[in-house]
Order: sequence, then structure tokens, then C-alpha cells
Amino acid sequence: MTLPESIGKLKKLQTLEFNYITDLETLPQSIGNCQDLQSLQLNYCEKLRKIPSSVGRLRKLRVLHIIGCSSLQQLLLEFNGELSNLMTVNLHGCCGLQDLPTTLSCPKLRTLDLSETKVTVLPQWVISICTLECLYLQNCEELLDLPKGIINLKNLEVLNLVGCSKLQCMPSGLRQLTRLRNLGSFAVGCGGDDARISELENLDMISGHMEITNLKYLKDPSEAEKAMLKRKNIWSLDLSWSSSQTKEELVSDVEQDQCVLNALEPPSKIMFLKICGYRGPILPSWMVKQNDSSCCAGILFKQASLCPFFL
Amino acid sequence: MSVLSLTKMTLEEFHNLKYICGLLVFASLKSLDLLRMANLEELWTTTSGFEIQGEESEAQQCFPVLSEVRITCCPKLNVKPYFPPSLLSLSFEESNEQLLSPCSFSLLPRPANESSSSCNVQSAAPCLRELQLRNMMGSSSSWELLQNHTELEILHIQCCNDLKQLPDSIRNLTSLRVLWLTECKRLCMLPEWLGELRSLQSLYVFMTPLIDSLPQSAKRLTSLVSLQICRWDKMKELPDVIQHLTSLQVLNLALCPALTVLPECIGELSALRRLQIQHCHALQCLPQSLQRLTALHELHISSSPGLARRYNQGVGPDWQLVSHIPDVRIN
Repeated sequence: MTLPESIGKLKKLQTLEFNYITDLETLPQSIGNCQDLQSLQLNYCEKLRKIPSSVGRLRKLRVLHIIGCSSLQQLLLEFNGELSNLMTVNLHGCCGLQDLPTTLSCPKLRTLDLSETKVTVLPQWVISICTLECLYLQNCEELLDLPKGIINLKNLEVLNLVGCSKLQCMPSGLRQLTRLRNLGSFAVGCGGDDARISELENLDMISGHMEITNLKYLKDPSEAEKAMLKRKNIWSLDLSWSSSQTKEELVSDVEQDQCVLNALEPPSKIMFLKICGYRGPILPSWMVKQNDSSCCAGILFKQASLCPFFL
Repeated sequence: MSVLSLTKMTLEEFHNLKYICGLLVFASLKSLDLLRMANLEELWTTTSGFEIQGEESEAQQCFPVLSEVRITCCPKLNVKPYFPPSLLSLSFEESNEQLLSPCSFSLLPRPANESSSSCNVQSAAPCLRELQLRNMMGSSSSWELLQNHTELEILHIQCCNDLKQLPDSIRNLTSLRVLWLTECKRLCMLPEWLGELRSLQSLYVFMTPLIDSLPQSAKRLTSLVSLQICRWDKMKELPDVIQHLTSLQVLNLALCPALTVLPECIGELSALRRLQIQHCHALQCLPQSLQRLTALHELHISSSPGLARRYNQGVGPDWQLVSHIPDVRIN
């Protein structure tokens, strides 16, 4: 299906919505003439390849939803207008989408949903939108990095990183995002510039599901303690050391793991807990009876103040 | 206590953990998964994992409401003193066969010879409903556990490649509604006592290339609603005994390359609603008695070229035989 160029004559059109139009490949350039258009929604149009650059002329556009359009590879690559009223951009599930425009001006954007796309990096313009409140990135499996400037998005309430499996670290300064209520995932980095897990300390509004990955890089258990998971409103927690287990592991790692897991006690409302790759020889103190200082099955261990020793 | 509200817990790849014991009470835990714990030897399900004089009475169930347990790749694991009696569903994959011994379960009345190391926890009789066994090591033994679980309703046996015949312990499972046997490549026949499983409603026997028939006793499976057969490489004809399966509503035959004939007695299956035939290359015709099956609503034939030619909708020479069936799909 193709739309006629004459669509540009619909000067009073405010809403245009196409759902499941499976043979729609693009929109005519004249769409840019629909100057009253406030909401453009193209959902599950699986052959949609291109959005014409004229969309950048839609000054009144508030909502742009392009959901589940699997053939879309790039969005408005050459774009130089200002979408001064744009509040919401939702590209959820455009699983072929790799490239975002290098420049885009949308100074009022509140919500950007890039979840389940192929984006590898967030362009600079994203971190310049001070109004941004919700940034959905869950299951962006190609996302390699978060830009450092993301910590300047002080209004951010949602930075959902669940399932961003290539993300190996978080930018330091994360603690400044004090409005965050949904983070989803925290990857412990191994570089000096990466955010420490202790940056979660004051992010007390974090709630819902939370994954913490790469715990193998966490060398200082006191940082884990500072994260204060106990105080968060998390009801589902995944703790993962790493998926790849190597044989030549140091004994010190083993003791460290114990102390780290002891310090990562989940909050009392926790319902779902998954722990993967923990190398300690005993369970964390918050799972076992504290007064059980004696033996189990003939093996003795003592409970020291922070780290239990394994004899 | 953070563990109090936990409803599902998964512990995976704890390579240095040998014992899970001395646990707090996980009062809400319904589902527990233990995955790839290469060195885990013991899981204690009571708060007091060992016996000290005078303390036995304090032992408490750690998992008072646990209903689902999955144990995958824990080759050394044993459960002590036994699985919680609240368990409804249990799944084992690549795990220690010991787990299947009766002493992994608490039963009332207790056997007189109960070992003295067991805890003194009072418990109701177990009420296991569903058991999955996949890739069990040394699965040629008798799986004695099964004979005590007569309340079992669903049993899956998958990829147990040393299994040559079904253990006799299954014979007692008179509540069994669903039996799945899949990818047991050495299983050479279904047992003669199969007919004793009188509650059986669904029988799925997939990827068992050595099986070629049903036992005579199968005629007593009068509750059987669904029979699905896949990859019985040697079966030449569907056994006559199926004519007695008067409750049968679904018959599915797939990947039976030697099958040449469906018997006329299929006409006795008065409850049959769906007949599905896939990848049966040697099958050339359907029995005339199909016309008597007034309940038959769906006939699906795929990748069976001999049948497709004959009964092709509207054009096949014998289309009339199946034209009374409301939903015929042939491709």
C-alpha cells in the first residue's frame, strides 16, 4: 500500500495512525505539510523501511510511535528541524533499527523508548534533553556503552537497562540521578572511571526488578554494603557474578564472594531471587540461621563479624 | 527477614558450594531451582540439618509451602532428610539417581527400618502430582521412588537413553493421567502392564525408534483421550488393539516411515475428533471405515505424499471418503 501525495493537503489532520498495515513501506514526503499533525503512529507495519525527513517539519507533533516495525533500519538520518513540541518517541521493538539521527532537536521530550532495538550507542542529542524523564533501553542487546553525560539528565526517573547484555559498566556519577525509580540493571565495571556499586546508596526510589551483573569485578565488599539493596523497593533481584567460569580462580576470590553476597542482602519484600555464579563455599548469612555456629554434615564453620571463615 | 517473602528462588553455578544447610525458614517459597551445582552434595530441608541430642524436636521445615522443585545438572546432590511433603511438581535433569530413591521422600506410615540419621520432623504424606525425569544418569535402575507415589498424575520421561524398558514401579501409578515418553532411544517396547494405568488420558510416545506396537493390555485404557505417536521407525501397521480405545478423541501419527496400513477397526473409535498424520511416507490409503466416524471433525495430513494425492480436497480420486469431515487440511 502507498499513501497518495495528496495526504499533504489534509491541513487539519491531527492524528494519523496505521496499525498492522503489513505492506506499507514508507510515507509520502508531503506528510510534512500536515502542519496540524500532533500524533503519528505507525505500529507493526513490518515492511516499513523509511520515515521521510519531512516529518521534521511537523512543528506540532507531540507523539511519534513507531512500534514493532521490524524492517526499519534508520530513523530520520538527515534531520535538521526542531520538533519543539515532541513529548514521546516510542520505537519499541523496531528490531532492525541501528542508527538514530546524529542530530535531533526535541527540547521537550519526556519519553524515549528504544527498547528491543539494535542501537549500539546513544547519540549525543539524547543526553542534551534536560526534560527527559523516561529512557527505556531494555533488551537492547547491542548497546555497548552509556554516554558519560547521561548523569546530567537530572529528571530521569526511568533508565531501564534490563537485558542490555553487552553493557559492561555504568558511567560514574550515577548517584546524581536521584529521581530514578527504575534502573533495571547495574553492570559492575572493571575500569577506574566506571560507576561503583556504592553509587546506588542514595537511589532509594529504585524499585521493581533489578539485575546486578559482573559481580566478579567487585573487589571491595564494603561497596556492596553501601549499595543498600535492603532499603530499596525491589521485589525481583538477579545477582550474577559472570556467566563464564574459569578454572584458575584465586582463593581470595572465594572469600570475597562470600562477603559480597553477605552485603547484598535483598530487601524484605523480595519475591523473586536468582543468584548465578557465586563462588563462595557457604551460603550468605542472610539465608542461614545466625546462631547456627556449629556444624552441618560434619563440616565446621564459624561466623565472624563480617566474613565467615571456612575451616 | 528477607527470605520470608521469597516465592521463587534460583541458585545457579555455585561451584564451591557443597552443602545447603542450616537454612532459615523460607515461609513463602513456592518454587526452588538448583541449576548446575557441580559440587553440591546435600540439600537440607529442615532447619536443623544434623542431630544433636535433645534437639531433634526443634527441627522445622525450611520450606513449608514449597510446591515446585527443579534440579538440573547437580550430579552429586542428595536431599536430607527428604523433600518437603508439600511438593507438587518435581523435575530432575542430569542429576544423581539417588534423588529418586524412596528415602528422598517422607512417607507416612514410615518404613520400620528408617535410618536413624533421619530427622524427627512430622510431616504429612507427600502429594507429588507431576514428575519430570530428563537425561538421568544410570537410568536403567528401577526408580523405586515411583511406586510410592501413587498420587502422581503427570510423568515425563525424557532422554533417558539407557532405559530399555519402563521400570515396574510405574505400574502402581493408577492416578496417572498423562504419560510422556520422549527420546528414549533404547526403549524397545511398552510394558504389558500398561493397561493397568486405568486413569491414563494422554499417552505421548515420541522419538522412540525401537517401539513398534502397543501391548494387548492397552485395550483397558478406556479413559485415554489422546494418543500421540512420533518416530516409531519400525511400526508397519497400527495395532488392532486401538479399536478398544473408545474414549479416544485425538490420534496423532508422525514420522512413522514404515507404516503402510491403518486398520479398518479405526471405525470403532466413535469419539475420535481429530486425526493427524504427518511424515508417514509409506502410508498410501485411509481405511474405508473413516466414514463411520461421525465425531471426526478434523483431518490433518501433511508431508505424506501418498495420502495427499488420493484425498486432496475436491480433486483427489478418493476425496469422497473424507469429504464429510468439516475441517480437512492436506498439504
